[in-house]
Amino acid sequence: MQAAASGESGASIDQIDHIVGARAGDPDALASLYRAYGAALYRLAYRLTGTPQDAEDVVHDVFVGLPEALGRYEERGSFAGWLKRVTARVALMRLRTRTRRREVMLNATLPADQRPADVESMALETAINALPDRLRSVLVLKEVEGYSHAEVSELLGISEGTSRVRLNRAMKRLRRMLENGT
Amino acid sequence: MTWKEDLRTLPAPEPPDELLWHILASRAAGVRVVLPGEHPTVSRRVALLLVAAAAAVVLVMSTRGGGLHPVDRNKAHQDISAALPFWPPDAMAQEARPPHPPRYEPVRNLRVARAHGGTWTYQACSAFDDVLTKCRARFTIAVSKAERDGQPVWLVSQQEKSARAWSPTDTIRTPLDSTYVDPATLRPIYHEINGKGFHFVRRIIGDTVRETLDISGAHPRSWRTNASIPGAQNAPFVLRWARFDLALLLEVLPLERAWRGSVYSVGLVGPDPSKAAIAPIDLRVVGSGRIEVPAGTFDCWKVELRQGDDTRLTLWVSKDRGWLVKTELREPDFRAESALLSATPPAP
Repeated sequence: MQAAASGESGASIDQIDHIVGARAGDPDALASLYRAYGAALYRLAYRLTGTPQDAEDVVHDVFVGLPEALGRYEERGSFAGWLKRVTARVALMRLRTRTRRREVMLNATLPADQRPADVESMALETAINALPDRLRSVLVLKEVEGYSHAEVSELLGISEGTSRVRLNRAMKRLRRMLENGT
Repeated sequence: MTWKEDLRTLPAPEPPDELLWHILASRAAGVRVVLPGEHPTVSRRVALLLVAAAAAVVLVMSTRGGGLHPVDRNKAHQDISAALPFWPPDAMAQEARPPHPPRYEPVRNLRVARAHGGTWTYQACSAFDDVLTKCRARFTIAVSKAERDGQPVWLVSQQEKSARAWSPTDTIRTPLDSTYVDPATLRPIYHEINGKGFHFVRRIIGDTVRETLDISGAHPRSWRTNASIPGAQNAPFVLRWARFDLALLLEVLPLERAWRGSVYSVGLVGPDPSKAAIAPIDLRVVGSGRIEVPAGTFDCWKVELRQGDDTRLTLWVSKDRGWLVKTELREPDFRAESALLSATPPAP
């Protein structure tokens, strides 16, 4: 799987130091990695889970587990890409185990200063969050994060065909919701 | 800009300021989280179609290092638990915690004289969104009378063969896995998977399961570990977690309308016994009916099986001989089924 989704290259020398430090359990190094990647991972988790609370839990779990997980990081390809894939998997695990659907729509859960600024964005955001989890996760990974169908299928444990079917359904539903204003 | 282009530029919230503090505080307090591995994991649902023999293959793939030495407790268990999402949900907890209590009374009044040998072959299919259906796996379970240490036992052997997704003509055959079961109590006493490059053994003595894994080849590894099995020492339990592990037990359960009972399942203990995959399975009869599968038409009890909060299976068990005839796992966008293709001796 490539890091094309993040558009970022491999880790810098400083970041490598932080990775080595975090792997050894150094909290300052872990904090540095969080400052470098935390916001992007939070946005990814938010897109996948649909709620700030779940996104917060996902990022919390990712960084709490990171020092041990770094023992498995093979330093091939982009560190940011690896981190995103791990975060996506944690978010997807959370989706799978979530027993109840979100009852509160996005705009009601976001602080006012973090809501989309224009009506179109708000409508789009609301429509995305109204999608079933299985459709939204494919849409977010493919259309928002830019993963290929092959990468989406790996992340979700589905076939490429299923990924295409779900994306098609998600797009149709999204288009219908936006056109009807529902 | 179209709404599709808008997708990539949608604003998103920023993480709360205190999140980093929470993370560092959790680390300082000793909280540890097992993250999924880099290598693609098989969906837990799909993995339910696999036998645990495949687990041992993954163990081989997920360990590395030179010289024969014990597996590192923390790292190895993370690798293993991350790569094997079909362990019971309790074993997949982010933090170690005791298994949830059984929902029902332990199964009892087993009709052990009803147990019988034979060979059963199943076809396993999965369907996403009721659109894409795959029927690539076949699973065979054989039950025969045998002796172990001079004592009569049931020998239960299982093997799965499945076609690879990218090449239907290329098949994966899992190593044969064998379990010796005490015929009086239906308690497994010995389990072994002897695969290419690894040897996995579990011995059950009293209430203790003693697990041994030896991996040979370029990166040899091993572990020896023990865990206690909850419940009475003469209560039956199920090794691993696959629908078919219950096959012999189902032959002897006193199923009837409204029957219910719980039994423990014992998965991988792993290097850290505190994270052993031991959890109860809760069974209850929810109905009955006549169903048709490739092997014939059967009058069945419909048994619902629950493990944890999110795994529900329906099993169809023939009323006359206790055969597992059909299984079905349903989730909102996913369905996995297995149906009896053939049986020896043939259906009465």
